[in-house]
Amino acid sequence: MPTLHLTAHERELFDALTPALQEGYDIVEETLRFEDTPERQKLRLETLHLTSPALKAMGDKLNGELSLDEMAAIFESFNADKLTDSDLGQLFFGVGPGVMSFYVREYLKAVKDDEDLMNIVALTQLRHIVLESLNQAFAD
Amino acid sequence: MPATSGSNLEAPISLNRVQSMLGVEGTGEDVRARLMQRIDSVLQRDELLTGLARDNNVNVDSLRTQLGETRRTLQAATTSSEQMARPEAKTWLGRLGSGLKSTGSFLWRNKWWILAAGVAAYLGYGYYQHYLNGIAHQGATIAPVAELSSAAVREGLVGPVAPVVPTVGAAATPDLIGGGGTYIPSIPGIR
Repeated sequence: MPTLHLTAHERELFDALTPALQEGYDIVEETLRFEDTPERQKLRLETLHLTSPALKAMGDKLNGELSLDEMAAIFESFNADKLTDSDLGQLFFGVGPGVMSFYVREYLKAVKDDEDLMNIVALTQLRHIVLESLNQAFAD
Repeated sequence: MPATSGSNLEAPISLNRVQSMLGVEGTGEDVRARLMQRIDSVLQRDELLTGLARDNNVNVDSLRTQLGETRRTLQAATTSSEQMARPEAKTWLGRLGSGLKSTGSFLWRNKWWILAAGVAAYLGYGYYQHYLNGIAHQGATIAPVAELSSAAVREGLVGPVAPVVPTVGAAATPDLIGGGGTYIPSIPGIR
């Protein structure tokens, strides 16, 4: 049975879903915490070693004085087919548990079907990995 | 010059500067391992740390703190990469990758947030802040900064003194804050 790692607040959002949608999932409370800061996020982003040419190409396009409209258009044109699993995993590590939690929370409010819930399962599983990694490294 | 003198390092010290200080060149996971070893050597021997601080005209305590923070971040990155490479995690990543490709899906509509991190890896954190903060400051369709920055605190994943998202707390698309339609607002240019 797919397992969702949810905080107490996220659990409340899950419990608000229809009984039919809630059926078929194990819920484990996410108890790991990490005190993140902008400085720590900056360092994490610097450690990324991304290999997707599409990301590099997008970076090159965005390397200039652009308006947000222009940036938005470049993001919108990004072809996610070219994004590798490895790079996606690193990007989640880079943005960190806080941004991932925001995704989880907002996604839980927008759930329409099991496909959405399985994506949230994936997000919470990967967030758990990020939290574990950060907790182990910053334990002392 | 005494090692305790010198300026405090601006936090966080950049990875490039750490590599330059320690003479570790290159990029990638192999470099992570070598850099961690080198940092460990320096942190375990006071004379090396003191010499490094003196050579770079920085305060030794500040250098120790920053190298420690870099070391822990590199370790976390390594552990995360190893865990993400496991079969189960690859399944989850594959699922989310598919979601990002599925036009109109929640993940597709909000992909910019993740992609901005990727671009920041090439262009620097300043870019990330500029982009997210720019959106956060736009109009009524953007969630109040305070609400966003406190979201993770409410969820209990971070401490109350530590905003998780950059500076003012990051941004939201109309979709993320309950609007709809396009995944990013039409925003007057910020230059």
